[in-house]
Amino acid sequence: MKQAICLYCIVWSPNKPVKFKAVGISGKEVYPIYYKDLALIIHECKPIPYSSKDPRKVSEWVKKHGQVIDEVWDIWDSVLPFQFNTIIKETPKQSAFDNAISWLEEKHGAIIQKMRELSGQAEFGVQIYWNRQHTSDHLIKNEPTLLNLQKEMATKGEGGQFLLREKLEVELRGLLQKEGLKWTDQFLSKIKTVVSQYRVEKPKETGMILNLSCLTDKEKSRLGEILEEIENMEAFRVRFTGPWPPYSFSSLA
Amino acid sequence: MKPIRDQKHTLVDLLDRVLDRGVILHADLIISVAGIPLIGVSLKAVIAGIETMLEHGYFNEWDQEIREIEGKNTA
Repeated sequence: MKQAICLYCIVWSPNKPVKFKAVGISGKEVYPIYYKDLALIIHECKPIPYSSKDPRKVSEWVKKHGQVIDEVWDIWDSVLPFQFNTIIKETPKQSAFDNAISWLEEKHGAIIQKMRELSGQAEFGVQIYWNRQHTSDHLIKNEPTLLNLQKEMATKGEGGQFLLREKLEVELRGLLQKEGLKWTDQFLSKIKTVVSQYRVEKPKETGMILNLSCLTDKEKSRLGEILEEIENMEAFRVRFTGPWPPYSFSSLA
Repeated sequence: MKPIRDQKHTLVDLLDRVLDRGVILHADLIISVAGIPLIGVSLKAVIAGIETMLEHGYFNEWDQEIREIEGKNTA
């Protein structure tokens, strides 16, 4: 018996025993270990974390971790994924297996509660990008304050024009900020009506004004319809990924 | 609008989720979780995920243990 086990996910299978076999990270045999109606999907390993300076290798491990969880999720609806590199070790009094079972026993109630909460649902990633230039052009042509400033500029000399241009830019920046907040609030309000939970993540790229992880029905959600409405607006682009196992909604009480 | 899930276009999304989220176990049972001192990778998304974990303080308790294990392995 190895001194450690690497965890992929927890499965809740109240009506039938979990039978599962797969090839995991580094070709390891992946199989379930049980406690009551729960199973941990694992492979045996050395008590050393996976580490490498080679991003391709890390990326392969991570992909394999995700792939095994996807395979499990294809069979069982109720799955809680672990973070990559979650390795349970043996302790002076207990083997790694016994430690894992003790943990399942201790957390059984919280795990079942979470499984029920997530049942039938999936995670979706939503990123909304804003073309500020498009909105900026629209404001310059339509916003009365900016139109007045432009008219005034036309009557001034070079020095006056410079000062008014500065003023116009400050006004425009303020208006753009308000527009950005207005749209973000509006999109979030709409999305909230069709998801059961959501997490606001940090925007990761320039132009991204909203980055969300959403939990909603795996098959019948209306999230796609709402996002399509946003995608059809000229100044916005939507990136919609999923369905993912509920990685962002799996933390236990 | 249909969601996408193909590996080519969603690797960064997967990395974010697998490295940064999911169930977290109690520290005393665990060897490590994606140990930052060990995974010296240049993959932007991997690092971004690890940075987020650091921000949440997940590594503070385990960092010393990870270093000790790595020290033994390389000794």
